Amino acid sequence: MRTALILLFVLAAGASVGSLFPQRPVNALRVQDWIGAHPSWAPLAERFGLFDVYGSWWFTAIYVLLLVSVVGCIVPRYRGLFRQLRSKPRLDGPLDGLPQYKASIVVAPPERVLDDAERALKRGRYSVTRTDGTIAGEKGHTREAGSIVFHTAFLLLLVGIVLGKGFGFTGQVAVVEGDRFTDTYVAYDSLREGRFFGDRHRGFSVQLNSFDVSFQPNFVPKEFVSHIGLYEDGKLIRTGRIRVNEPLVYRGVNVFQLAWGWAPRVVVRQNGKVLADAPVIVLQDNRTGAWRGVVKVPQTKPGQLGLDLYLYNDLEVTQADVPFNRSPLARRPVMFFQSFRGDLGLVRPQSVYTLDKTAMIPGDVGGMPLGGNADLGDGITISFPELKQYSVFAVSSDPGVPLMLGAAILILVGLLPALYSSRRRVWVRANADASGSRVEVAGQAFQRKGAFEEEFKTIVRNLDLDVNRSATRDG
Amino acid sequence: MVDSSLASTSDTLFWVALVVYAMALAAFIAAMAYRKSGAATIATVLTGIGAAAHAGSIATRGLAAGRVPWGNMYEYSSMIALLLVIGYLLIVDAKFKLRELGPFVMAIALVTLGFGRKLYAPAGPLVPALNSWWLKVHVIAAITASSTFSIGFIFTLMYLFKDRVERKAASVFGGSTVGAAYAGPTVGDKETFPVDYASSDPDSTKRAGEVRGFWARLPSAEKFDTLAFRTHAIAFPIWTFAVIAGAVWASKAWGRYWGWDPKETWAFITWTIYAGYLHARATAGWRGRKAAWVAAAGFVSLWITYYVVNLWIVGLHSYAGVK
Repeated sequence: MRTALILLFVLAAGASVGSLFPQRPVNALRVQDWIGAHPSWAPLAERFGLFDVYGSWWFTAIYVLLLVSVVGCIVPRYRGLFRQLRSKPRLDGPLDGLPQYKASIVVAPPERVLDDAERALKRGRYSVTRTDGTIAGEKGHTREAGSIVFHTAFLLLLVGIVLGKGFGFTGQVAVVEGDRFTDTYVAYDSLREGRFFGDRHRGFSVQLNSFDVSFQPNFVPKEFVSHIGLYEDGKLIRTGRIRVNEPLVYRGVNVFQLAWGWAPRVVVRQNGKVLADAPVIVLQDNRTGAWRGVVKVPQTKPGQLGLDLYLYNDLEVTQADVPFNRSPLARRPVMFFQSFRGDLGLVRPQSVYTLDKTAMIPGDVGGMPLGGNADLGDGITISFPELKQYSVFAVSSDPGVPLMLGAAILILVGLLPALYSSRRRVWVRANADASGSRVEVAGQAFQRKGAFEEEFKTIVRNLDLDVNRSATRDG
Repeated sequence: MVDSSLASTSDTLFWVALVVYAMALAAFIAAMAYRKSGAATIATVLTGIGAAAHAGSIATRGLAAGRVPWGNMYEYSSMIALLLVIGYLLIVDAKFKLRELGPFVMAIALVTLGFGRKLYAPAGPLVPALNSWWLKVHVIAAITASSTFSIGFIFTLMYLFKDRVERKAASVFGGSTVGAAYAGPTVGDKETFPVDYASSDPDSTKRAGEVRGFWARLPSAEKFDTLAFRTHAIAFPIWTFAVIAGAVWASKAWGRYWGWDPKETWAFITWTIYAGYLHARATAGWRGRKAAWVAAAGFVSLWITYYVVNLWIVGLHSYAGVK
């Protein structure tokens, strides 16, 4: 157990390292910041996995060693418990050497004394064995059993984690009001599949019919609600809503409400012909408060068109001419843009949220309120006829969760008796004596010896009472 | 939505509680220094008055915001301090008659309230992620466990102090001429302690060299060790449950049960250290002082989980009332 104890402390120390360094799976941007600020330390930190402590080889090594040590402890204890359950306290041999011992003379005959003792012990939920002249009771196997259950449950927990990581997936997808996404490999903006996931995407679709967000008077969000329709093979299965803390659960996949934002519908025409008409997902820039996104229109001539968009949903301008949002509501939506002409570079893979400006020349800068439009020359116009919202869903499937939940329950179920119960034995022996019986009571506790001392006194007192009562009944 | 007069009543009562607790602490210290039981009685009465104001502050806050009063770190700290004080009054004082622990309890309660005040947030409704049944369960379990751990920490502290005093007394004795006949207690092996130094038996006190003053009136180190263990053994399953409930809540709110967010990480570290303490007490070579230091480390980790994480480390949990 000393090894396990040391490993437990090493595990705690190792886990704390992960709170000192930014973690890539939690926040990749902060990792970049840290590397930028400490360029000389970064390679070393990278080498020891300090930016992903909980997935690093050394952290894995610690908990694997700990589990090996737990298994090493627990397997012999299974055998021990099995033997313990079968073994009975010895009924022969002297009792007066045991830690608790009391002898006295009572008037009742031995049989009556032992009958009473048996009743009393059974009432105290001792399991009782009896021979001629002596009975023994034992209880508190739950302590060892609980401890074993507690430790075994951690193995189950780990199996659950591995199962979930290996056979599950997590993804994120942004959906504009009126659109839908389908649970397929290509649908997600970001997706992480377990090694053994294969392609078990379910193929159902979720349509975002509308999205509501409400605020407190101080603009702290009160509630986000996505009103959705669930479709399978194009057929509507059901409608419902997804709220924070209320995911959609369907065929082992959970769809959570994660975030939301604005999606201005931007229409680009050249010489009256519509070249692009779609809601554009814009992301909030935490520094300026503007919602930023891009539009890429390769069909314009001469040269392709790119637009950087800056949306303010409730525009106000400071004295220094700096625009900002007064509230999170769409009270005064204004969209600014910066246009670029040239080659969008669409042959290369690129993000839908940024423009590759290496082969583009900056053009016009302008802005328009909701319903407005702007002329970019060459017969190109852009207009902003509608402002929609989008909702971001976290979609995940984790087949390990039921097992982990079971393990968590077993951890608690095992922990309580492991901490609070104790194994103890009580013997009562009665031999015929000239005036009735000579009664010996003895006891032994394996844990919590102080508490047992009190319990033993009570047992003796109760026995005496019973013995006396039967004695008086006889007399 | 938010009843501002109730909210300001709550704030006023908070300050009343803080001031009355500070007075109680002063009275407890006076009682300790001058050994006046009158001062201890005054301190206890003040503690009771402070607790009443404190409970009023929390109740009015809940009414003002129209929800359970444990939605952010300020309210959370306030609840921990209140449960600690009530736990002291009902269990430590009324049941175990250990009024001498008063100053330590009040000091921890005051520091907790002070940190809570540093994380103050005005009364208001909860952000959507926090509005869940599991939040209520998770947080109330974490609060209960924390205040119980705090009491356990005080017992541990008393054990460490008393053990030191006892060993000192024993070594004074051991250095004397009779020393050859008596080996003295072995450190770290409580089972073989031959004498209960602070027991009411005056002979034993004399035999083992004398523990004087404040410490003489306290129970033996062994007794404190037992109390510390029992208290931690109550808090630990509650903390375990809190961590599990937190994971269930996280999976409902964020779509993942565990993300190594700094709060989760430190809750896990705290759990690990306390699990280590419970094991250490049953491991040869770790019993006694070493195990007690592990428990103390657990308490430090608990405080890091609450305050260092919220004030200095960013994570998902830090939106629980802190800007």
